[in-house]
Amino acid sequence: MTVVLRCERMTAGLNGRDLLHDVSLEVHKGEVVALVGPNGAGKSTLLSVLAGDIPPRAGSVTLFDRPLASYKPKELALLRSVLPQQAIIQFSFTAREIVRMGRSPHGDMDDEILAIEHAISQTDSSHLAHRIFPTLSVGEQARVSLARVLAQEAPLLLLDEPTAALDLRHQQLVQQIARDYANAGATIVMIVHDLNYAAALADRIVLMSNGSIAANGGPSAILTPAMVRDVFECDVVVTYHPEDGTPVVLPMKKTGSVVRSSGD
Amino acid sequence: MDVTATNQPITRDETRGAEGGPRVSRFALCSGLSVALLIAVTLSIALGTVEVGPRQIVAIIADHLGLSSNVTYTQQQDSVVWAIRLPRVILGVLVGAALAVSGAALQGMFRNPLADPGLIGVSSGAALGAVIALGLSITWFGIATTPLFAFAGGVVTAVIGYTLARHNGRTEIVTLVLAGVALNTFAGAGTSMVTFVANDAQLRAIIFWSMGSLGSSTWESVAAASPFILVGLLASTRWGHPLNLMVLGEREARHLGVDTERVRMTVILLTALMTGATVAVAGVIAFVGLIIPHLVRLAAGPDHRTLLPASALAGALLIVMADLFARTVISPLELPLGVLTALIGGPFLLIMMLRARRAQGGWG
Repeated sequence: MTVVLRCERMTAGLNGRDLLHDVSLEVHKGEVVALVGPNGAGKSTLLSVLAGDIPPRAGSVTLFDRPLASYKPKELALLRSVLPQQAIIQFSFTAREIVRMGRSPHGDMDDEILAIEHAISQTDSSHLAHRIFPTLSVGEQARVSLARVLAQEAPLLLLDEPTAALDLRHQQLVQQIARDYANAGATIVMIVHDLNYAAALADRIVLMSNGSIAANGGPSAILTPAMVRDVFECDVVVTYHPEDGTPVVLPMKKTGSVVRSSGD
Repeated sequence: MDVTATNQPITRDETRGAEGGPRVSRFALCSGLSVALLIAVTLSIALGTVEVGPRQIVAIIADHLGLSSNVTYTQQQDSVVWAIRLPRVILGVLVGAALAVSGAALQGMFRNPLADPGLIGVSSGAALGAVIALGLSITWFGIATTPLFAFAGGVVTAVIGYTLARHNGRTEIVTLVLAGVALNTFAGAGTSMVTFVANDAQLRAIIFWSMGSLGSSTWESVAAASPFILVGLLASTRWGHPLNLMVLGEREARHLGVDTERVRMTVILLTALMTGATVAVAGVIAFVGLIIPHLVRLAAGPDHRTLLPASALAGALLIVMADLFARTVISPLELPLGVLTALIGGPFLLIMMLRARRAQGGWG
């Protein structure tokens, strides 16, 4: 299996403070990987390192077997696209103009319109295309931003909570898009907060805790009551989806559902 | 001023059209502005205490360029057009274009429609430089002393601000703007101090210059300012695309392949160069960099590939028209150009501020 991304004993942080310690991770072609973990576990930092925004302080990160730092911005833009958590835009570009910006690494105009329209319709944004981006709701902006990332047509997609502001139908739409892209050979790493969504979506879950990877494997192997309690400090019951048997995590109702950590 | 952008999305009433309304195409806007500018330039050369017809203007210019013409004109018309009005209008075009393009580029880079060369301290740094030369009667470089000092002041402030804002290999916009506030204060105090010790003659020179005027334009000042301004304007033709992407955010632009640090550095240095050059030859002319890009965005939308060239034309048009007005309305006296633009610009900024606040539901 082709390794797309590889971190080896990587340590990284911001402003001299290490937020990730000794992270080793491989992501293969065609995989959908969900990064989950409590707030402050280092998910966004890891995504930033994988995107090339933050250089690792120690260890290595390679993309298609080449050190990430050795790529020029232009080369990188053809290999990976990144969806930020929220787009803040102060100028009145239309949604379509924003999506078209995703095509800029390609330079060629031949299939530009096609790629843009495809990305817009995939994300159910056709009716938003002519509207001014800053006037859209947060959820609509998230879909248009996702369309921009899809229009970039990079083999690796790094998505920071693409579904945070989306309703149920559009969450499922994103799940379908991720699956379709992975089946077509793309690789997707995304931060997800909803454990059930991660279980339904991902081939593999990377569970992060305190700047390290606590567990890494298939949803059924990772989402056990013991593991969730260890990392999220929260008592849960795990049941299984009646249709396909993926794990479903529910908060426990009987005993105090939040277990306070010592010293609190 | 909100420079980093709040986390709130702007909830603007989109039925009001304005920025969401039908947009004028780049070609239509730029051709319209070019024609208007040509008319304004012709009027500006033709009108005044000595009037010159358009055919005579062409003839005078042609004769000076060594092309003979058989249109007759007086010696007085010749010297008024060639020695006074032509350098003045050329400088007006260059200054207006430089200020408007600098404003448009900085607004795109800072992702904020209220940015201006004055914001990062460039204008006041250039002002301090010029006032030092005038107030201490420094004449090291002859007639070019004040322009050179102004120019150096502008570039030095830009470099200080930029160096301070560099951190972890990135440029922090908040630091850059806060440094701009500090540099503005410092340069303002320096200017006051020099003004305080200046004698009467020096004082008059300082005041005249600080109000901004094209009144002292000569071919020498055209020659002094044009290389810097033309280099900046030429470079700005390549900024449209990267600035569009930088509106998404610095990281996002980098994810799309833009070398954001290089764009930042060239935009800051070249706008400082252009602003310094304009302050050097025409003094402080406020608000052109703020008003013009805003109006162009209203007409043609926010795309920088249209915004930058259209702002250059519209800025030139505004300065040429304002200068024509300033020197003819109470002729033979001249209204200071900088005072005129500030009179228009002040209320304009207040209206923009109120609109922005209403659109965002307060500054939060």
